[in-house]
Amino acid sequence: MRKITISLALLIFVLTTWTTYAQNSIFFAGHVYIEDDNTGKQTMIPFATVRFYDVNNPSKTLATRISALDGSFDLKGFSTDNTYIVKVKAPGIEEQSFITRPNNGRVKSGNLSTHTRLQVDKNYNNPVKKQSFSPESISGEKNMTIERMIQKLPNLEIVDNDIMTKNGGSVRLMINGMNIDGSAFAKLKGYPVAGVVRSIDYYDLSCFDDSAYDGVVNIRLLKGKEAIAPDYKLISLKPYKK
Amino acid sequence: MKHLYILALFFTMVENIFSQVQLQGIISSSNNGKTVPIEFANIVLYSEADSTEMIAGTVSDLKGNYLFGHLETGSYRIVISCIGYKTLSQPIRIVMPSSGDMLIRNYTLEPDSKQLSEVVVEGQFRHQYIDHASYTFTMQDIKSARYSKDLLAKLPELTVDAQSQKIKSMKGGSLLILVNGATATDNELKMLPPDKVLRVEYYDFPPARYAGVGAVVNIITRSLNNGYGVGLDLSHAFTTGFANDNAYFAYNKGRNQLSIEYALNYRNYRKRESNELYRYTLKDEVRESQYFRKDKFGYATNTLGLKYTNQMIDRYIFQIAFKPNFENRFSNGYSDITNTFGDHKELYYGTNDNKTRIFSPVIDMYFWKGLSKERGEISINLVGTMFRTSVNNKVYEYLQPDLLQTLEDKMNLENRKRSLIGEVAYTKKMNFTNWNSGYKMDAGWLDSDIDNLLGSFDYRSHYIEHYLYSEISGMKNKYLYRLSLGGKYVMEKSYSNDYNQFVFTPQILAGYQINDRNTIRLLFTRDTELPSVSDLSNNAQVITSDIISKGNPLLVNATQTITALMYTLNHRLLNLNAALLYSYTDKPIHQYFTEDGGNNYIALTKENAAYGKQYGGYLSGQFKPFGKDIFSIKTSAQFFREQVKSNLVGNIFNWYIPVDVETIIQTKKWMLSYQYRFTSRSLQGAYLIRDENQSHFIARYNHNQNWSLTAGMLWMFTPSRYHNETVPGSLVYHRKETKIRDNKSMFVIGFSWNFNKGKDYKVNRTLINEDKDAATF
Repeated sequence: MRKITISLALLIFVLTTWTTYAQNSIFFAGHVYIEDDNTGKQTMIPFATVRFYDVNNPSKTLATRISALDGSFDLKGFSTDNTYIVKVKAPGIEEQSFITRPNNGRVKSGNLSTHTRLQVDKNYNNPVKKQSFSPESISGEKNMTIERMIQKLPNLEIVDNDIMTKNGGSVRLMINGMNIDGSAFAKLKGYPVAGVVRSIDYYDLSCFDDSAYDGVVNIRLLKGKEAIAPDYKLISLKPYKK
Repeated sequence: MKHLYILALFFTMVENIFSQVQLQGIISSSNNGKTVPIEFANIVLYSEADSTEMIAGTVSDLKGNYLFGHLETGSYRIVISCIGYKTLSQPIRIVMPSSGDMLIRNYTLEPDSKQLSEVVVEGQFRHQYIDHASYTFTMQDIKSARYSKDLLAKLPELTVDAQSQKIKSMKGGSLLILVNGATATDNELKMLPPDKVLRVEYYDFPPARYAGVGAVVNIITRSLNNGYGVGLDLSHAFTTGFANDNAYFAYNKGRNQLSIEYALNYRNYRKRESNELYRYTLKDEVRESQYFRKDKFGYATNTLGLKYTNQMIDRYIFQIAFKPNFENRFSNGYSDITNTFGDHKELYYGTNDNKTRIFSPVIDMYFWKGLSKERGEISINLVGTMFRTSVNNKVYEYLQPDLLQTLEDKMNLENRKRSLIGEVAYTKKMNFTNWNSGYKMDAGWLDSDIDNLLGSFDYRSHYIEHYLYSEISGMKNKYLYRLSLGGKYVMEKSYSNDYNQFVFTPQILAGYQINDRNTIRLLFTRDTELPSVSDLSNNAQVITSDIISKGNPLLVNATQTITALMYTLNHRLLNLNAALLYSYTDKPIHQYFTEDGGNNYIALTKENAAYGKQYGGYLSGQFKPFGKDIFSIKTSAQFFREQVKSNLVGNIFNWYIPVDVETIIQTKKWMLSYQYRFTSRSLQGAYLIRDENQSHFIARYNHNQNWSLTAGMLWMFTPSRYHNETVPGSLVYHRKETKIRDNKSMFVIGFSWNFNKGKDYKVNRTLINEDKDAATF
């Protein structure tokens, strides 16, 4: 009995220690896409709002993400041993729900795939409109910085390193079509646009109901890779039915 | 009960670190064009639609950083307050961040010169967390205090002991005082100016690393300047030998600090009287011994402290302290003894003379290093202690009227104890959770030689205790939680005993903050109590001609499990802590009388009882009828039904209902306090022991920030009284009543002076270890 108690105590101790670290080491990552039933061609869907819910408390949003230009999104800091409902609402497509599978030790590090294949009509076309601004097209200022150029774009402003629409709407920032971490804009904003920026594209999402953001600003740099669709076949999470 | 456990577990498991949007930033102020971070500012988010609905609250850290996790997008009002600054209140819109999931908002507060000079803020600010309450003070509190110790006395849970003039818990039990996480003596509290105190944390359930301590008080200070502090405190009684004298000095330059302190506690009483009765059956004969004893007794405790610190704030701390403590105790007197053995009655005259000397040098080394914000911090503590205890006791008895010597017991006891305590701890702060883990080793070696009329004996023992713990704690919306998992592995070795035992020591605390004023908490805890080295020694001492006292080498550790439901009320007029508690102790260690030596004599020894139970509750708090310090009443009342089941005394029940009351009148210059205790008897094994009575009046006049005068009368119109009596099932009926007549209406006067010129000394020490078991018998 004593040995069992000791073993149990040590096990619990090790588990709490391990899980404290483990919470941050494995994360969810996936793409939002559509697939042609006939050809099997997969097309990535950008600017989809991806919301995570606990399967036991589906009324409360745990986290919200937006898919990048290559349809990718990720979610860190959540236990991958739990089961989540993933609700995806892409512009011009009805909201669709999926369910994650608990990791249960399958993946030891890295990420757990959470690809979501949306069902659409054959005639679906992405309705999001893009406005593209090159540094040259914005009336000239000497040594104009990235921050200054964004401030000059119509209907946008910057508040404490956050880009917002002038009526207070949230705007997502992407670099070369990819989501970036929280400190990237603060580091980047002081750079001159000349010789660095190819263009700044603005995607207006304000007309789409249920979008987490009112718009997306994508800074396309002259150097570096742009977001591209994966060159492998994606396998989707299973749809969630109540 | 099962449901309570499940509920407690549930509270610890609800959503851990999940968040939608996190809000973080820096609170700062502008000082001569330079941006200065504001530490310990209170930041509260309210609903914009309903400004009475608090959404979340936090406190800025040493660098002014604050963080809120798990915020829904929407409109809020943020209110930032800190003493010395104007409160900022403005709307804030939480939107989805442009990058990452972190929204950054920085705020600048303006200094409030009005508040710094004369403004009177009504009431202290108290915030309840899962295991502690955090207090901040008003400028009026700070201005009326001479040093930080005066601020501690304002807490509802604490008071100043009228006799020792040290801070103590109203509820009783041990109290550990820390300054920025480092142990602090009473003198160190006097070295800390009150305006440098940012807040005080009172832990009624100390974290795992302080296992075994009743309560912990941690004072968080502001950054201080280079300089020095010096002070002198003298307190004496005129009618008898009574003194509490202190002197202290601290000097700081750059990364180095040196502090020296000396404390002398001196007692020399000449009128102690006791009336003692033993009644028992031995060798088929009813025997009774009655002692009327008058003696002198006293002690002198010399505490010297030397401490050197080298540190770089936020990088590392190295601290070494040396404390060579000396203590002398004495008692000598005479007794009129009546022995009635069967039908035979004889009168005796007895003398006793006791001298005890204890020398206990301690070396304490401490190292702390901050790894990085992501990697946490690590601390190492090593404490070496040596005790040399020497007891010389002479007892003689003479048969009257011819004064024929019938008893001569010259006892010499020499104890040599060495102990080593080592601890390593790791701490990491995450979004919603603080994580602490550590390992502690406590090892001791005792050599004990005793020489008395029973013969010469030596006793050797050795123990090692390994303690491994891991703990998470935090707050999520209105839910509070702390989960500690710990295990103690104990190894004891003596000539007659050799045992190894593992005890699992979990602690679960779950709480719910109903609103700013009301909090409920649920506690489940399990811990172990080791027998002390003297408990384990079988070295014997003579009490009467038929009775000896000795330890018991076969003792094993006791294990206590406590479940409690607590309620806290925080109101301008009334601060209240109330609890309902159930405690079960397996194999509690208590004193009992038992037959020994082949029926030749009776031994008063320690035994493991079958079990002990306690259920009831307590109520403590402070009532300020005018909402101000001008008049307040502090009280602590306990009501417990105690039960012990023992093979030696059977099944015993007792109600323990002590009540402590203190009334305080305080003005800018004057403080008047009266403390009274309604005593009660507590069940401790075969004994019912009555608390020491109290009726103390103290008046203090603060002339300015540098000096004050104190006058008081202790034990007004009554001597101090002590009463022990055995329970009905005891083998020996023993009753002892003692009075110290010197204490009756003892008039004490004191003078206190100190001077501080600031110091740049701020040690966030996180490990506290000390061996206090001097192995006296």
